[in-house]
Amino acid sequence: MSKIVQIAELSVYGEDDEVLLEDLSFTVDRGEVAQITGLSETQYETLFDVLTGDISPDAGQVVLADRNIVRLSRKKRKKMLREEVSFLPRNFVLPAKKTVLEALKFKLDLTGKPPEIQERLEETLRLTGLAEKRDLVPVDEPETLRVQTGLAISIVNNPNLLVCHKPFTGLNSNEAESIFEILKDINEQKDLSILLLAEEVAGDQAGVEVIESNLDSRVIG
Amino acid sequence: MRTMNKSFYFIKEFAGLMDRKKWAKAIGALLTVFGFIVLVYVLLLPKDQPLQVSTGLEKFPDNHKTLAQVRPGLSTTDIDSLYLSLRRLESVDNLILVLSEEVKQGILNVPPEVSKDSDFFLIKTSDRDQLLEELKTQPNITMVTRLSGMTQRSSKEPLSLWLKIVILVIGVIIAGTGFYLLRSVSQDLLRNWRGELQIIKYSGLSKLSVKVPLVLLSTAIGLFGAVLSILLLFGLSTWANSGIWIAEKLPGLLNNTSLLIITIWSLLLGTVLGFLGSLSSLRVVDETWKLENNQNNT
Repeated sequence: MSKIVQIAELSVYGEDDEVLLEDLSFTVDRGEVAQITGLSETQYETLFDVLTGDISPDAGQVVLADRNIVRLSRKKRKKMLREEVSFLPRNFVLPAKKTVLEALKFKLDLTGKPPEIQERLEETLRLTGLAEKRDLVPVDEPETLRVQTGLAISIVNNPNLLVCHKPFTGLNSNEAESIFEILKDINEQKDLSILLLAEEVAGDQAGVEVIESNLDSRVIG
Repeated sequence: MRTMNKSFYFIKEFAGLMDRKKWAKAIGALLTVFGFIVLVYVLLLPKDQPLQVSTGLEKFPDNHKTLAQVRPGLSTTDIDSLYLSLRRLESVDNLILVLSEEVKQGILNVPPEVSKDSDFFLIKTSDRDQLLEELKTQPNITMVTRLSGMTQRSSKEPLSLWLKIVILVIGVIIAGTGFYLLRSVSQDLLRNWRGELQIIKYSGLSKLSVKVPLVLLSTAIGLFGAVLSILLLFGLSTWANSGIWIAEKLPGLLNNTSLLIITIWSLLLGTVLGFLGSLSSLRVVDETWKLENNQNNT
């Protein structure tokens, strides 16, 4: 099976050569839900920032959807973000005044409207359990709905890979489980590869590739 | 083109976020630009330009204060006869014929109560009462009026150095306030737009795509401020003979060419002010963009 994420000997050093990540290696198959565990808070943050391109690694290879993002030009990175890889950051900030539907339309306005926009919106709302809540303003709603909306915004442009940074933060175990089930449904129905950067385990882990990090004790965190 | 489309799309988004407080700040910024440009007028415009008779008539003698309107439609011969007839009047020391074309060109700015489609005589007299009586005998003179103030305005005293410094300081304070208000509006907009900003960021768009509409907005505010100041200037020029105190105090701008040049410079100044104000707003984008990273990392 082809790989959608290939991290090889990734090292990132902070100020004063502080070790943030060193020789981290793992892969994720296409169409798989994978969760990487065993990292500290700082290491998850650093890994997320490397994947989004916010920070450049000091060494190693980072390949997402067949693109080496370390050497990716700005233009190609933009295209990758628009079409292939979506990121759901921790504590995703939602638009203050937009309803769920308006927020999804806003995302599509930025990434490009597909010809079948209505079907795409309906499918996204259905998959994320928001079909009946499309007219709610999510910032005024409970945390679960906010995470669902964040998920919907992340997948509405039909990416091939979704990277979630601590998606269960602020949720109780039942809420986390329901979000986890939504993620697995999305994976099954859209064949979307999902990489979870999270220590917490939520719900039934069947079908989820749990990757233990290979980092050694010199790593801070 | 794509960037511009996005910019207009984002400007529409910003418009949807404007509430009373943000409008107040935006209007405040606009008024500060307006105020700044008016101060520049006060500082830099020439003070010794004739208010009512432009440089085109400066070669004529002073004290031609009485304006007599000639009946429209008279032939050249009739006007020549009228000239000779007026010349013979005891109270007339001298007179100058001003054609309606010259009035339209702005060489002579007549008071608003008389028609610009007529020819006029500018008359110098030492006995105005007698002149008025004698003009009653001239059927081809339809209206007589007196030019307010001096026919040729005497040179005003230049502003003192201290006054110039005070005006300059006030100008700097006003410009600073304008920059602050522009930055504050941008800050408020971006604060309400944090969610959208995060979507933009993770959709692969650059900071530039957010900066461009902010620059356009600030520049537009500067431009509108300049337009307001130009309207004031045109208004004062139009009402220069109406006796409005401030119109007489501000420098005269009766010549169309001067107005055109000042208009262009004012628009440029407003645009530059708005643009410079937007530079401080752009830092807000950088800060907010960076803040997104930091908040994700905490």
